[in-house]
Amino acid sequence: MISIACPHCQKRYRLDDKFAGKKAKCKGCGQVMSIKASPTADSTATLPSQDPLAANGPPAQNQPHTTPDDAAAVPPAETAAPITETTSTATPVSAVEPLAAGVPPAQGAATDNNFASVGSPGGQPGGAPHQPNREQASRGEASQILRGTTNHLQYEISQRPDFSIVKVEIPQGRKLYAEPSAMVSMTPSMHLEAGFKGGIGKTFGRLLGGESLIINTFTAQDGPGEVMFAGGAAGDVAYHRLEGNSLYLQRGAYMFNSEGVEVSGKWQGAKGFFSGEGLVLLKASGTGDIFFNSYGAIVPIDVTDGFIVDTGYVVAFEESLQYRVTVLPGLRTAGKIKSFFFGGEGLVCQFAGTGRVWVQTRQVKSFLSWAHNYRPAKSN
Amino acid sequence: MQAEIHDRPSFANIRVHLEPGEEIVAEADAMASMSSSIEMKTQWSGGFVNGILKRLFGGESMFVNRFSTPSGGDIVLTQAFPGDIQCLELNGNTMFLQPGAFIACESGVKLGLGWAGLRMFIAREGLFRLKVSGKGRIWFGAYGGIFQREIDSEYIVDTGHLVAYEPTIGIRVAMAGGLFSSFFSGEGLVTRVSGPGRIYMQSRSFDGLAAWTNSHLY
Amino acid sequence: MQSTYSGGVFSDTLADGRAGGEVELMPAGIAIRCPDGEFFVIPYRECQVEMGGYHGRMLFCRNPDRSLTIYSEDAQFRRDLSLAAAGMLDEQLAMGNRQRRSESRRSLFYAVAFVAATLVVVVAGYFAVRSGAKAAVLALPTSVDAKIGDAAMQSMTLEGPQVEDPVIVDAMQSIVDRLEPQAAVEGFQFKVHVVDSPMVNAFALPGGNIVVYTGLIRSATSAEQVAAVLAHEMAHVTLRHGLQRAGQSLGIWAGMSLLIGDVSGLMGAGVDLFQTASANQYSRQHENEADREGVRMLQAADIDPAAMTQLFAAINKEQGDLPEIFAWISTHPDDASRIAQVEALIQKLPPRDYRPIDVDWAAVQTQLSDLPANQPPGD
Repeated sequence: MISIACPHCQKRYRLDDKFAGKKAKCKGCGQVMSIKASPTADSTATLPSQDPLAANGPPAQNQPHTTPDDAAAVPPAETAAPITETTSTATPVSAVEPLAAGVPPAQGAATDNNFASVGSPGGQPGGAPHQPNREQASRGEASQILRGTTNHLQYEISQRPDFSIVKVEIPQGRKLYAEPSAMVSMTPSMHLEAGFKGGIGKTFGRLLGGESLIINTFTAQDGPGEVMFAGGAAGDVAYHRLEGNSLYLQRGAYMFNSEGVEVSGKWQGAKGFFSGEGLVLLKASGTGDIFFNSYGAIVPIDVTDGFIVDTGYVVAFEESLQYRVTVLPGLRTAGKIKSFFFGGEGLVCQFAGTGRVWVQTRQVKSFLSWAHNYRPAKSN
Repeated sequence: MQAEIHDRPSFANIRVHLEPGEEIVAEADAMASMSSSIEMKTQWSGGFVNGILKRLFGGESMFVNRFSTPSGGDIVLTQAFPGDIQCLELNGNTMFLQPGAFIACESGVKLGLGWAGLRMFIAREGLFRLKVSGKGRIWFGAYGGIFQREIDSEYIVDTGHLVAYEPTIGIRVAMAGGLFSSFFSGEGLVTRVSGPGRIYMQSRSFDGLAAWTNSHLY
Repeated sequence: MQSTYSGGVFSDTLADGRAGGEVELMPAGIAIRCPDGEFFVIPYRECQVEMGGYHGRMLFCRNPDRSLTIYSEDAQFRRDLSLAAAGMLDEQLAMGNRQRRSESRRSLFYAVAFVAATLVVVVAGYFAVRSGAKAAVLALPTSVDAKIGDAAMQSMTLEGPQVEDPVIVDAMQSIVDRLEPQAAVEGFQFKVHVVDSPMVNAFALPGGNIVVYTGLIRSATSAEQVAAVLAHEMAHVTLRHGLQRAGQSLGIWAGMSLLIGDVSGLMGAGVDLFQTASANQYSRQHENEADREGVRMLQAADIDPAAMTQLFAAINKEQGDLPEIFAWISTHPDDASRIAQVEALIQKLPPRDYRPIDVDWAAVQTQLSDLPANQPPGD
């Protein structure tokens, strides 16, 4: 016998086990509720995926393969838990495998299955996975979906590489901290709270880092929750695992992070602050997961000796790297300079040491100057 | 008629092959290229008045093109912005589309313009919406990648990210959080959708792009 | 009773899971016939009824395990269903109706409250923010200005090489030293940088760095005229106009963004605005304030403020075909009225014994003529 309470009106029921995993309408308030497989004791407090993780050893470290074995994830009806995939990597580049050609139909199906809302294993109306779309067959399907599971969350990055969106699932009681306006959609079990996280100091620091003062807290209050995040520009999303170390993020790159990670603005003195586009950085430290986005594709590069990147193209880099913002004279356009604070022309970031840099394949400045020609002109 | 969507999700386009006697109806601007054996007839989209209304409020052009061929031919259809295209097969049911999303449909599909209601206006989905019904396939697109979701109970979508939805979907505009949180979170208002039914969402929004661009200008 | 109602069905057995169709009320239950011929029935006694849909008026009839749903928005359907089901579903229908009505009342209330609140906040907020910004900026310690200014100095491109010639540099410094004690605010360290360029321009960065172009020095016929320019620029520093401008723009934008809820652009704009804090785009009010303060400083330092108008006149005369070079005036708005205003100010000053500045101006001009940027055009 299953003993449950309606989450909306708390009316209690005792039901036969055969109703496990199904849905019913509460006779008290008329709302739909799912009947969990086990009695009230909350089995969703920890991610069911803990087990595969424990078997694999230390959490979510770089296993350089993404598995497109979506077929294994089907069918949703049999498991009461969200679909779990093998861990994925923080290196989109190394994970790129040329299987897109053969995979699309299955991928299409699996994608849709993965949208099974958490906690509703009973299937959905019109559950048959969208055959008509397969009939129309799409060639040149998006690059494969990046999936992963960590201590804190499960994520899935899709619509890559140009319009990447991240779907994150967290168990009840857990939180996510995100950049404002990053949320695309979420289940009603998630509660959103805006806040000046980290106190005034860190908050002000973030202001200088070009990110908003506010960091939003998403809490899965009423049950396990799911949120989707996306950036504003066309580009990709990358995932990085912090293990007590830190990551520096360029302005605008920060999206969201799990618990255990602190994000603050790094005031590296007026030097970087004023060098035009320069380097205005956010610092993320702690132990946990962080996601950041880019304008353009993301290329992770492992630096061993030295490396130079135009400042507009830097997305993020590990703290183990030393960096210096300098001018590369040949890059500066000669001639009239309209304002005394030029927009970062000819500035490069010189990295030294060992660590990883994430570089993006487009930069804002170029887009703006290109677009500027098409803006309506103000008449004097 | 064979139709395939290529180069998803960033620069999606539809490659159509028509046999003699087959017909496809498309937005006036959608045609990128076509074989010389294809004939094109332009007409008001749903009639004169409807056409004008669709233009003014629906973001669609006043005209649609009917493509047919006496001997067989190919057409490539696109949209104005980078993004994804989806195909949907209607079987007597109805679907509501964001203005400007419509690209093409088979001749058995009826296109109409509907009043979306103030709710949708606040939700930044426009005052009007396109209503498609009948039997046949319809192709629509959006800025960003398009993905669908079956809604059973309730779901929350950021304003500006909803591309299409069934009439069975209930829509309410709500605050993202408490009063303080809604304003300061940067999310403002959100759309609460309730099922049963299906919604199509886009992974980017023009508002988001504008905000991002603006944040780098001064 | 109508024979059929327009509606649809959700069923796992259908391709894509859904179809439109004609709904019928049969003796045993609710039925629907689809265009392709499929037929579904839900017996009345098994039926669970819900309301929903876009307008809240759509009626959903579902079977117990929710694998089949028949729906219709037809108003008549609701009424006829009650009859056809012989009262079995009335309780569910009534509950649905109640919910719908309370929901629409609630949303109307929210809509009105929202609009009213927005109006209030926008109006009040705008004014609050405007006045708050200035106060906030003035409260910042002067060390902030210095940091910003020094950083800007390091990263700027100047129009030419810095001049090291001791005659010229010392001359400039002695003018500044004469004016500095008259500065309205203590704590600023004024340092002059001379740059070799034909541009007739000078500017001050927050914190006290001042850049003077040799073009300007050359156009001046006496040290007092340069002093007038320097006094004006030092006034911008002590009055903290650069920071004020940034703070004001930031403030308004901040207010609006907070209201709209989109703070992402806000922070980006804020950072960039600090960068342009000292660009040559002071507002008219700031220019007038700097003129006034400059005249006061000159007077207090026993320098004849008439030098300012003399300089204006000298530059104006030569302005002719090369407006770009004579930037000091052209970037500062409303020249004619400014000159008039400064003259009026000077008229009102009490008489005073003016001491000339102790600088060999002829020597300065000689040194200048050796510098590359000051060769006559046509070379």
